[in-house]
Amino acid sequence: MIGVADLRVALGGRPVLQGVTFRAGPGEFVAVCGPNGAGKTTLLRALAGLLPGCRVQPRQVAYVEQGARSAWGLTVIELVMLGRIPWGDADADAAGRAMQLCGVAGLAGRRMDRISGGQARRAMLARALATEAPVLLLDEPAADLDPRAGHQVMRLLAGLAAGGSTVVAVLHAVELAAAYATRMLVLDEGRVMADGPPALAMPAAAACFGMELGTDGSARLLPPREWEG
Amino acid sequence: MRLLWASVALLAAGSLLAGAAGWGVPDWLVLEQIRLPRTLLAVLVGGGLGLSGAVLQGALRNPLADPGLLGIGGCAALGAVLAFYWGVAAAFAPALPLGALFGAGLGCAVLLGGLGRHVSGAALILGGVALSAAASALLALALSLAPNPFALAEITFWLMGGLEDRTLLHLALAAPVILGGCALLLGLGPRLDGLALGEATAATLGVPVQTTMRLAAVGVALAVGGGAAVAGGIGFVGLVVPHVLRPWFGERPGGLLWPSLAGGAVLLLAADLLARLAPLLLPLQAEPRLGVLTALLGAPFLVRIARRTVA
Repeated sequence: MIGVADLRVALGGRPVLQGVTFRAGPGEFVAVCGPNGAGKTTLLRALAGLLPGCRVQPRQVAYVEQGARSAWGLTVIELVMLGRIPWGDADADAAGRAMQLCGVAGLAGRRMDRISGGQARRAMLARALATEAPVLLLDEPAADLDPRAGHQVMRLLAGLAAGGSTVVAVLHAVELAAAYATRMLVLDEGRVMADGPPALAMPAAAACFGMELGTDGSARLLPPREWEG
Repeated sequence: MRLLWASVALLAAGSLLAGAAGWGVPDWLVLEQIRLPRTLLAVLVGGGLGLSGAVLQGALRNPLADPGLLGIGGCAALGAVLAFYWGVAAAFAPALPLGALFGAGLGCAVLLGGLGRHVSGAALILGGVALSAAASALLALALSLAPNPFALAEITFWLMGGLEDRTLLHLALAAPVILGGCALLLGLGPRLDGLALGEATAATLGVPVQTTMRLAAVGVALAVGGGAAVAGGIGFVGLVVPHVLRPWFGERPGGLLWPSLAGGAVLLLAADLLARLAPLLLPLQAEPRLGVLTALLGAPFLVRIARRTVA
């Protein structure tokens, strides 16, 4: 179980979250959607215990930040092993299972800076899974993946949630989110616009992005308006 | 790793046997009073510098990080120069290293005090650069106000770094400080590994980021300050050693700590040996300064690394 109640955050004087209440439990795969600057990443950072006043147990929550990269030319296995830091052990079985799940077991000895972006993204996910935390917080886990790899990652996350994990992922690809998540949280300008099953939350998400919903549940982007401001 | 320690032992033996007049087993008195302090100091100072470099590069996620970046060495030099300046060093021999130690301690306190409660890697770098600029400005001021040309020459000579004519007293003074600093730094391994993922992600893994940065700064201040107190300004060792070792030991920051300790010792022992042998091989009137040699040896290494990194 993870959540925040009436969370208000201002960064540099600008209100980023204006009273967000959110709670997620085992079995849920929550997609956090909304335009840039809606406060999605800030909400995830709060859940991860990275904002002042928010503390969480490192063994309970695994977090992958947006565009996560590692410094140095770590090998994939070295990177995945970092997920064991909260336990202070070097549990090779946990790391092996995580790499298997993410399809990077064959890359164990390769350097992170010598594999493709998609493979590096999956290795980062394996690093989070190696912690075996009940809660997974992921910022854009499917960004810069090719369509097939994106679907693979989403299916993996849905499977983890079905297995009893709590998965909260910031996703820009709303259609992908609608296809796999069990629940969708739509944020705009620091407020919750919708929170519920994707089928019910999609109209709110579409409204945020200026999208038109098809009758079959598909979403199509309307011609964009001019830049404002 | 074994190879590194074997090199340390081999070079240390060479250092004990090499004198101004050539090779050979010297008198016990010479061995104990001159060569032993010099050899052990090379091991300690070099090891401290190599380890400090590895820790700072890991903590700051920056391959350009060098212990000199924090300005601790500059503060140590300033402390030593002030001891010179007021003539205390002439009256009381240990005043010079004590002054340097005091300078390093004060510098570290100013750095951490100035940064306040939130010590991030970026803040540490900026604070260090500011501190080292201030220290070198004050150093230049002290030099320009030097009481006489002789003092100026003496100070400049000391700033170039060297290990000749060091005594067991120097060893006794520096060893506890350097060893204490190294012990502190060697304990940071897993935290530095976590920091490879960035400060935010490391924090979610339970790595106390702020504490780690502070401990790294204190450990480096001890290891480098203790070294600078007895050896003067020796640059490049901390920057070069981790880079040289990465191809062999991997790039995981925590895995580089012990190798960098040994590697720094190897580099400084070798440089010091070279400094001693240079007058025998080349038409030089005196030994080249150790700090000069490490920079001369280190610079081409760094260029090679830079070329390989870009390629």
